[in-house]
Amino acid sequence: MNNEIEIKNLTKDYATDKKKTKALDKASFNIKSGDFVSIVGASGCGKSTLLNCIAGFIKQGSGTIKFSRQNEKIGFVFQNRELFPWLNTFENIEFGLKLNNQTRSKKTINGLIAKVGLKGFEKSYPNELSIGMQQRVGIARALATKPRIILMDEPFSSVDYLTRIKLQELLMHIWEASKPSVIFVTHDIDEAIFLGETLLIMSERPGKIIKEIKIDLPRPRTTKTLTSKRFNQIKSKVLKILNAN
Amino acid sequence: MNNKNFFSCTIFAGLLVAWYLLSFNANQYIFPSPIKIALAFIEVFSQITFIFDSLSSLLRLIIGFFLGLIPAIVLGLLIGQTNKDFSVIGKSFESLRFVPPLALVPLTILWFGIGEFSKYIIIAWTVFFPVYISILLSSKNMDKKIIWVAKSFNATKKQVLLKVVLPYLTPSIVSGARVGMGLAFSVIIAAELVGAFSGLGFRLWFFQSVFRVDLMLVYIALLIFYGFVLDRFLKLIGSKLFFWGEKSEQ
Repeated sequence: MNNEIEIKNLTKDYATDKKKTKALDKASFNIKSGDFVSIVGASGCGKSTLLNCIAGFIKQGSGTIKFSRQNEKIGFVFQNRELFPWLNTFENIEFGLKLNNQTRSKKTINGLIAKVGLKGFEKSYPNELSIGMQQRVGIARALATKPRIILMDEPFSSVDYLTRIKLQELLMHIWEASKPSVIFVTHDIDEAIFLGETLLIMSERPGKIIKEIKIDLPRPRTTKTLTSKRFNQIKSKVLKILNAN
Repeated sequence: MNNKNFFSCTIFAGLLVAWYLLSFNANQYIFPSPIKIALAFIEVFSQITFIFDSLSSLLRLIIGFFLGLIPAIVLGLLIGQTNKDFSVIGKSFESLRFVPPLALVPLTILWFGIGEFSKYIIIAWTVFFPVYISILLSSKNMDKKIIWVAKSFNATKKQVLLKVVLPYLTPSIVSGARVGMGLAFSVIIAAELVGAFSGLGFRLWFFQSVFRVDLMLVYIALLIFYGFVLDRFLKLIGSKLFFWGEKSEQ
């Protein structure tokens, strides 16, 4: 597998009037094409900053982010959904397609709506949906343009445990079906291991990648995976690394 | 009829009776009785003058309103979205809002004459600032992540402005416009008192000069009606534009 994204010595400072905070300190890693990479780390370690740099929302201080293809489409799923309140489910999902003048038929979007389990809610506005459903819209919106790279910033952190498991399973099915490259940022170690093929562990601020672990849990993964012996072995290894730092 | 309606009707009837009793011994020119006012209503509505007066005021109001609204939206959008470069210009511009619109009446008469254009300028001035300030304030509070969504789809600057920022700001534009319309309504009447030959304000002044308090009161009632209708109209437009605040109709 070739590298989809190569990240080298990424550094980012946040400067306020009073002091300068280092968010990222020479973070380096590669994302293989079609990989599912979980990035785990304590709150405030610069995970989101890292993702925002990759998406191009903010500019890094120094270092390089290299994509294997120029102008690669990305899909971004936000922690707080960031749906447009003036658009209904269908229109929110259609948003990126319309911007890019991509024409995908009504049927394809309805198919996507069915895939994320929102059939019957096409005409509902975000304020009429639960947070879990809103995040389904957020995922579908990111998927609509068929991106090869999907970036997810703690997308399930504000939903309850059972909803979270359902959304995780949904995400896993989507990934297994079309194998896009996914970078999934979370502070939830269970979630990171359960979903990822590769696990990157970040240090506390200033953030850098301190360890890369291959997760060899068999697929398809189910709720049983969460209580398996291998799962717990990996988890204790991750905890040891995080605590040592 | 529910209790609340009954209560307000009783108060209204009570006031009417009190007025009637008070007007009994008063000079009918200065303090006309309710019966005289009722006759004045008939007098006003049986002639066509009140329609001309209304049209003339409302036309000034509406043309001036749009002359103020559109620049406020365009400038507010542009200055609200630029971080540093334009904010200095934006700030110095903002200080102009402390010029009371009515202070411009003598000036505009000298600059633009006593005709319609002077009135448009005064109304535009009145409407501009509430809308402009309201846009700047909510631009400041806008979460940039909602713009990042569009950026993640490689949106151009123009697309961000029209597809994300403008719809996001619609509620504040409408509420600014409602405030502006309310102010403009009082300003146009006051402006007509001094520098016009038609309009509701002009007519009020005229009735005063011929001691027709009863007709003045009828015109004031007309003003209440128009003010109410204009505000409700803007509110209706607003709720059509930002329906997502409520449940969808279907």
